[in-house]
Amino acid sequence: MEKLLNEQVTGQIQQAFAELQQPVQILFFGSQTECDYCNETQQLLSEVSALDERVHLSVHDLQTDAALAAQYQVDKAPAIVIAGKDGETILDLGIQFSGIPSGYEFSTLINDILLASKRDSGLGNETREFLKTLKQPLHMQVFVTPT
Amino acid sequence: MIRAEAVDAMEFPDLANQFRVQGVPQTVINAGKGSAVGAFPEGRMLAEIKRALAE
Repeated sequence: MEKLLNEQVTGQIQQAFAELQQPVQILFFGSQTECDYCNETQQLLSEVSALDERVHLSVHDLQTDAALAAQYQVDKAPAIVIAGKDGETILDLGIQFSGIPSGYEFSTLINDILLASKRDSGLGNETREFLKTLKQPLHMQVFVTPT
Repeated sequence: MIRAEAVDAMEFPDLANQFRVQGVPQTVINAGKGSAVGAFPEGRMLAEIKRALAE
């Protein structure tokens, strides 16, 4: 299949990935049913993860891997979970992208990978202190459009 | 405890309609308990999270 990322873009990603610190695990969830962009999203992730050995990709299906999807609270496809990887342990950081990260949103994907690699939210102290006191789950969905 | 999800509004229009998303970015907190339209600085987002959780 023809590559989605050209040489110029892969060069930029490799430059950005020079800042990677800890290994990152990307979990891709596709679906056999009604998923227009699953194949393209999977290929995109495959090309991105091939650019650095610290970026790992595993491919899953929303239906056949239902237990894993439930564990990461994934209910859509395509969905991308960006987690940390520590040896054989996957660290769920609560970061997910639902849809294909194309256009402007491609940089969101790359930044998410870098963020997960640093294992640091970059948030200020006041926010951190408040979030430590959370007694109920917090789910933030940021709606975006790729172009 | 905390999940942050970017959602492509074009790919998942039903969800975008459910939360009456009209402009992007729009942040929906806990399935509509809170909402922030546009780019919110951290302090304002924190205030909106607190407000949403208090509901």
